[in-house]
Amino acid sequence: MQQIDASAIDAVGIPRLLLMEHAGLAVVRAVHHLVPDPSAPLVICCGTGWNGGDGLAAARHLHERGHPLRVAVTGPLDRLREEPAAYARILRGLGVAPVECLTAEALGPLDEWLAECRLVIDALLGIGARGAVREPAASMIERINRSGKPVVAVDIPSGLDADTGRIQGVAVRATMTVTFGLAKRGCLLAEGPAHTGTLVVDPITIPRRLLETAAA
Amino acid sequence: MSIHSSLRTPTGVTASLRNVLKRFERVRHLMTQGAWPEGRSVYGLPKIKQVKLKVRKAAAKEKEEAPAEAPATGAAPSSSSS
Repeated sequence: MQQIDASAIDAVGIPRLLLMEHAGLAVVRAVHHLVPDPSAPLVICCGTGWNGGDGLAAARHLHERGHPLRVAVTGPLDRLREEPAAYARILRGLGVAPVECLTAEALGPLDEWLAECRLVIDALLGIGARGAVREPAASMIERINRSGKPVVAVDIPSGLDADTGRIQGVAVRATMTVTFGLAKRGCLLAEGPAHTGTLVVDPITIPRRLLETAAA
Repeated sequence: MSIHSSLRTPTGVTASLRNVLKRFERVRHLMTQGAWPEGRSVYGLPKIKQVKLKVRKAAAKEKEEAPAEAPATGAAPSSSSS
């Protein structure tokens, strides 16, 4: 899937920001399906990679719809890559400043946010994550699972290996997973189905020919 | 909103006899059949046929046969007494 992304960006020339925008919109559609009420408070947990960027892109649109938002990021905002940083800037401009949660000890307010919210968006770790889940993401995942709130996972539930479907220490139990381009192997194998919930595949405007070649 | 009785299915039966399976169910089926080589693509999976076994009719036949035998065995003592 990373190769398809690379082909879409480098060979076809689709900017990553555009793919991220469509990924965010796909997540918004999933949230709207589960929680149609635009006044429902939401918590968005983002990592510092592309997956986190998708979460930040969704945050922008959810804010526009009127949802009260709490956005937590597991790393320093000034070290985000170009596209996620762009969305973080937009959110700050809109008055929804993402909160840095750099350590497991700094997750104190998260429990309160999770108790108040109607739905959680998991954009912590994507398909590029390898090895055991590290802090503070591991603690965040445990708290999300403990909250009992419906969870929409972005691309793949955090902590689930995208190739094998095995849990990397701890993994989000999603109600719905919005995956981009093609269904990931990890969502269908081993523990994947139990953690993925309803699987929604959104092409996010990746050219069909790239997807068909990869699926063949 | 009502649903026509012909479209209704008993609960539980549909889940076990679905012919259209989810992708992960097809993967799981292939794994249990030992037809899942490591690293196989999750696309282009073979179709999986669900076979319906009609056990009910056989059970009903057995029931019909059983009561027919019972009076025959019970009638023997009464006929010997007269």
